[in-house]
Amino acid sequence: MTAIDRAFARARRNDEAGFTEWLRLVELPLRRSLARFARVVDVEAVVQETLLRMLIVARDPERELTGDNASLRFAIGVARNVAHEEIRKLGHEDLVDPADLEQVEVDPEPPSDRGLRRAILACIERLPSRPRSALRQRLLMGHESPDREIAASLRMRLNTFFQNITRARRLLAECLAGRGIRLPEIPR
Amino acid sequence: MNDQSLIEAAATAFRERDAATGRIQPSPAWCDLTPDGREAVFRLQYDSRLLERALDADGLSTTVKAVLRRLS
Repeated sequence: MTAIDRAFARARRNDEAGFTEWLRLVELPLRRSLARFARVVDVEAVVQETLLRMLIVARDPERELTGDNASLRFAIGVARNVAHEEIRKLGHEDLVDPADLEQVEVDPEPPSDRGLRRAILACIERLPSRPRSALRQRLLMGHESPDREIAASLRMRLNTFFQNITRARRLLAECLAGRGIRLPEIPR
Repeated sequence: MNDQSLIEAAATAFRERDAATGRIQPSPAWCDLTPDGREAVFRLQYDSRLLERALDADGLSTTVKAVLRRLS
């Protein structure tokens, strides 16, 4: 039994912390599994819709998922269905090559890295004030507030807010690179 | 808005929900991008979630927080 299986088993028992842990464990592999859809659907929307639907699956006592990482493999199937629904809705069928949509491997989650956290925090502290504020607020509030509200809270115009985040990302990447750190790339 | 700003706008985890169906909606900025721009969004979304997870004490990205918020 994998960590994903254990977390999903807890979620099936209405354990909220278990479902949160399951979300944490599956998010990145699920996102990577959608790489080939990136040109035709908004992957962020597909991931969120899929994760919400998986709560219904977790709470369905009739649903039996068997085998290692079964819930992740099932979620990947749900995500592909959601993506195909979006493709039809957006009329993007002609942009999809069926050969690109073959089954992908479920690769394991890389271990968390405390050194990476320390390095990112140190590099953020070194950012100029306004790019640092813009990036920090997006990191803190990005899940609950639209960018126009975050920008307004910082007394920035929306376009200036985006320019500051873009600048912050570039400077952060340069700072991390100076410490020999690069964020992992997406396997394709 | 130029393409770089559209890409950054689509990188956030904030998404509207369809009032009638409850379905999560694509970012309006994403809809305005070319396929190449959308590829760039995908990579930036991934990098952003990695950054958020690295910085959050519980290792949660804003995507996971957005989902949990809808459940609360």
